[in-house]
Parts: sequence; structure tokens; C-alpha cells
Amino acid sequence: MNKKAQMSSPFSYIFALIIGGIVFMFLIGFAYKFIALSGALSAAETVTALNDEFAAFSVSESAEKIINYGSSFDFTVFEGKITSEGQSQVIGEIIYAPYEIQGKDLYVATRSLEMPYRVGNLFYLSDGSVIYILVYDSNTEEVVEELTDSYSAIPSNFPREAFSITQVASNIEELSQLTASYDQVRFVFFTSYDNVIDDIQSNFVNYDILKVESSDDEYNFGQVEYSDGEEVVYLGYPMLIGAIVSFNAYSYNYNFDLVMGKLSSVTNVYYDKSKFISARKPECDYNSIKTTLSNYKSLANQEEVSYNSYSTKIEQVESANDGLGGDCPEIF
Amino acid sequence: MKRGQLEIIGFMVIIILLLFSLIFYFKFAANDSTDLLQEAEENLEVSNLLDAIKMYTICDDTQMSDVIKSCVDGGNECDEDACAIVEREVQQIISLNGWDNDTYMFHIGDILYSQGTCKGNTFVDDYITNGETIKLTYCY
Amino acid sequence: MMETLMVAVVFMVVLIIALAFYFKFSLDSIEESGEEACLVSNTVLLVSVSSVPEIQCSINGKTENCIDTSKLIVFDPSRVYGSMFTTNCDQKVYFEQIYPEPENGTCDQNNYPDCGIFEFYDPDVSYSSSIKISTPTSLYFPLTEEYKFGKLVIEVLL
Repeated sequence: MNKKAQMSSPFSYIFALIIGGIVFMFLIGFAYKFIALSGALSAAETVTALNDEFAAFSVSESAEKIINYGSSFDFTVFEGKITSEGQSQVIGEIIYAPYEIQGKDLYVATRSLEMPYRVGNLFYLSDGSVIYILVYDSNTEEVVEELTDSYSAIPSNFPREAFSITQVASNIEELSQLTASYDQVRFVFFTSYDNVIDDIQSNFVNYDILKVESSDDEYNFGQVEYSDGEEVVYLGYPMLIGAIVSFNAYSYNYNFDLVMGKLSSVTNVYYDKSKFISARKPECDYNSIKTTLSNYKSLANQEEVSYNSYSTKIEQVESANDGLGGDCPEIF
Repeated sequence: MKRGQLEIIGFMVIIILLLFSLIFYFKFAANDSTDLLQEAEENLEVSNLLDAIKMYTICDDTQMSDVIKSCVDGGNECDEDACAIVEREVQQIISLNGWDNDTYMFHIGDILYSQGTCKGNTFVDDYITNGETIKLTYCY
Repeated sequence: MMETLMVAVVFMVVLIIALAFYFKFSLDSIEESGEEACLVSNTVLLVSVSSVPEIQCSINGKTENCIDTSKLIVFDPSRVYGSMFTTNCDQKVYFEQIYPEPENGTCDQNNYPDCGIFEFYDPDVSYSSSIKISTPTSLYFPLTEEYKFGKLVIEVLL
């Protein structure tokens, strides 16, 4: 060292290292925070875009679509919320879906639910990783045909197949190969599965079984039993499809409560409309429709109700409405 | 100052200038999504307007869709020539919707039932009744 | 040593100023995205409000592409559809009868159908300005079984 107060070389290098280290750590920290912020923004955009898609879809009575955002997505659907990378948004629609959805293509479908008047749209999501196998017997063949090939069928872009119980019993290995490319197989039995359960257990790894039962010939109302023994009630094919697509009984029942909320809201409107119209048209008798709508509204607010009760109330409401007409406007 | 320090400061100035120029570039870069939104709104407007025109009640139990059908067959509705009703009422409704006469066309088949023609980019909605296509075209 | 320290200090100051400008730019960009998302959501609302089952026409058991004004009069959406209207920004939603030209005034159960504006949703918040977007719609009056021409208006509150 030549001058006083001048640092020696080693100390200069140490000083440079310390300063450089601080600046380097600052920049690395900034980069990480920026990556996190970008991820959060991107996820927020995804869930907002999905929300807008559902809202736009809600005008259709029946529609299906495949959404491809160009990159893979990964989100969960639970209790009315779609969550992606920590960003979640409450979706105002009724969505039936597996718990986790990931992949490049998102299959979206909607069906209008009428009980007997339109209550709203139900939405279904799938990433194509689950295949639904509907199994019927001679009594339920037409029902399954309706569920696979009609206006109110399971969305055509959702992987699904239909077989008779005889076909399943005799071709279990072919069925296993047919479904090998899917992550999960969901069997939906519209008949007893006692004869085939052992074969299924030995030939399939990732599967579960749903059992559909109904006292109605056309299976318009009934109940579905999940693998864990939980039973749920469905009212109409759109809700049956929801039960088939739902992750489990809890997620189905969450949406069931939302449907009942919507039913209550719409029924309330028709009840208020009937009071309003009857005040303006005193020459018409709206007592029957008012009573049946009031009873129907009460049913929708009850906790545990059988599907037969709903079926009866719906028939009464329809009949009361059909009794109007001409100078006495119908309520719906 | 030493030469090396001067060079570092010069380098920093260049970096900052580059940063500012990038910021200004991205700020003024073209944004297309607002145009798409406008187009989506106008497309929806054409479709909804045609639906509203169809459903409009002309007189007791007679909607514009019935009048248009009668016009195709050359008949009367509400004690008046159906085609005259179509020409008058459609113009009135569309005018109240805020469209100028030279921005739209209303066709029943090949026959024009609006005041003028228009050219350019278009949004169209139509439906078929009695074998004829009823078409509303908006030009922009 | 002092010179090295000065260089380091100058470098840090310049870096911090540059980052401050960058964050300001990012914030402006995010705000712009938010405004755009607001406009998109409201355009989607133009489509979806008309299909709300509580106000959509249901005639002889079939849904039609119109708004039942008698249901509009009796329905209060704020209890049920709050989440539909508060996604990105506030908005007022109302239906306006255009043709035949109506009487002036906001509709309620007393003056129906001699009125012109059917309020659907009003958040009752203060705002400095607004942007109106609208779409044509058919308004159905069940007492006279008439369809009239109207508009669905969404006033985005800024």
C-alpha cells in the first residue's frame, strides 16, 4: 500500500464480493417474485376467462364445447370455486366435475334443467381422463339409449360407452383393454352388478361404481349410490348426468343444494307473478296455481325429501298451470 | 474518476435508456382485444334485433313474424297490406334502435324492405319462413 | 475505497429508480387489464342477463327469447344474483321499453304497464362517470299477451 487509508487489495476484493453478493441476491429475489406474480396473473386470467365462458354458455339449452387455451391447465373444482395456482374464483354457475382437471383440452357442456319450468343451466366439466361405462339390462336399455343418444344425453365429447350386463359379463377383458388409456373408469349400473363385480375387481385397477335406482320406468327421478355407499337424489336427466360426472356424493350434494336454491328462487318468482296477475285479473281463479307453487316452494326448502315427493309436486304444478289459459294467462 | 468507473457509469446509462425505450414501446403497442369486443357486441345486436322484430306485436294476437309470413304470401294482416306494415314498422324499430338508414338492409327473399342499401363489412342474421329467407344486414 | 463505495451507491440508486419505473409501468398494465376484463365481463352480461330464468319468458311451458315484464316487476335479483354483478366492476342493469313509446317513469307494481324503465339491478354506489352498453330485447306483457321492443342497458360505473 502506498497511501494511508487506502485498503489493501484483499480487503478490496472482499468488499467487492460483499457488495456484489448483496446486489445479486436482490436481483434473484426480484426475479422469483416476478415469476410468482406472473403465475398468479396468468391463473387469475384463466379462471376469469372460464367464468365468462360459463356465463356466455348459460343462454343455451344444450351445448358442448372443447376449450383449448394453447397451454396445459391444472385447476380444481370444489364447492363452487375454481382454483388454479392459488388463485380462486367463485363461479356463479352449478358445475359438476371431477375434483381435479388438468390437461390441454377442457371439455365443457351445459344442459337446461326444467322442473317443470326452466330453473337454470347445469354445467359439466371433463379433461377426458375418465371414461363412463353405462351398463343396462333389458328393462333399462331404453333409458341408457336416451342417456347416450338424445337431446338430453351425456355430452358427446365426454368419453362414454354403453353395454348390456351380458356384454360386460362375457367381454370383461376386452372392456379392460378398451379403457386402458384412461386414468379412471367409472361404471354406472342401471341394473344389479353382483354377477360382474368380481370380474371388475380383478380386471380394473382405477375404477369406481355408481348404481342408479328408480321407481320411475323412464328413470326421470331416482337415486344414485356412490362407491362409498352414499346415496343422492336426482331430479331429471341433467341432474343424473351431474351425479355421473361428480367427484363424489359431497360434491354432488353441494350442487344439489344450489339447484334447490335456484328452484326456490324461480318458484318464488312464479308465485309472486301469480299473486300479481290474480290481483289484476280478479275474474280468474289463480288459487290452485298459487297453492301448488307455495307447496312446491316449501318442498324445495326442506332438507331430506324423497324424489317421489318432487315428482308429485311437479305434476301438481303443471296441472294447475294447464288449467289456465284464454283470458286468464298461464303463469309459465 | 478512473477510466473503469467512467465506463461502468456509461454502461449503466445505456441500460437505463434501453429500459425506458422498452417501456415506451410496450405502452404504445397496438391493442386488438377492444376491437374484438366491439365486434362481438355488434354481432349480438344484429341477432337480438332480428329476434325482437320477429316477436313484436302488431295488433291483437299478431306478431311481426306472422305479418312477414303474410307478406311472403301477398296477404293482409291487421286490416292492412302485410308488406306495407313490414316496411313501416321494421324501419321504425330499427330507427329507434339507433341505426341510420344507410347502415342496414332488411330483405324478405330478394326483395329489399328498407330505405337504402349499404356496403362494406357486414354482420348478418337470418331465418327462414314459408320458404323465404328473412335477412337483417348491418354494415360497418 | 470511497470511490468503490460511491460507484456501488450510484449503481444501487440507478437500479432502484429503474425498478420504480418498471413497477409503475407494470401497475398501469395491470390496471388496464382490469378495465378490459371489466368490459369483457359486462359484454358477457349482455348475453347472460336475458337468459336468467327468473325473468326469461316461459310461455305454455316453453322458454322464449324475451323478457317477461310481470316477472321483472316482482323479482329482486340482489338477493340471489349478487355474485353475477360484482365480478370486476359495478354496474347498473335495467330494461327500457322503446316501442311503442311508453309513459315515462320507473316501473313498479302500481304503475305497470304504464311506465318505461324496468330496473333490474342497482348497486347504489357513488360513481364519477359511466359507460352504457345495450342490446335489443323483446319485452313480453302477459296481461295483454303483447311483445314490445325494448333494450337491455348495462351502465358500467367508473
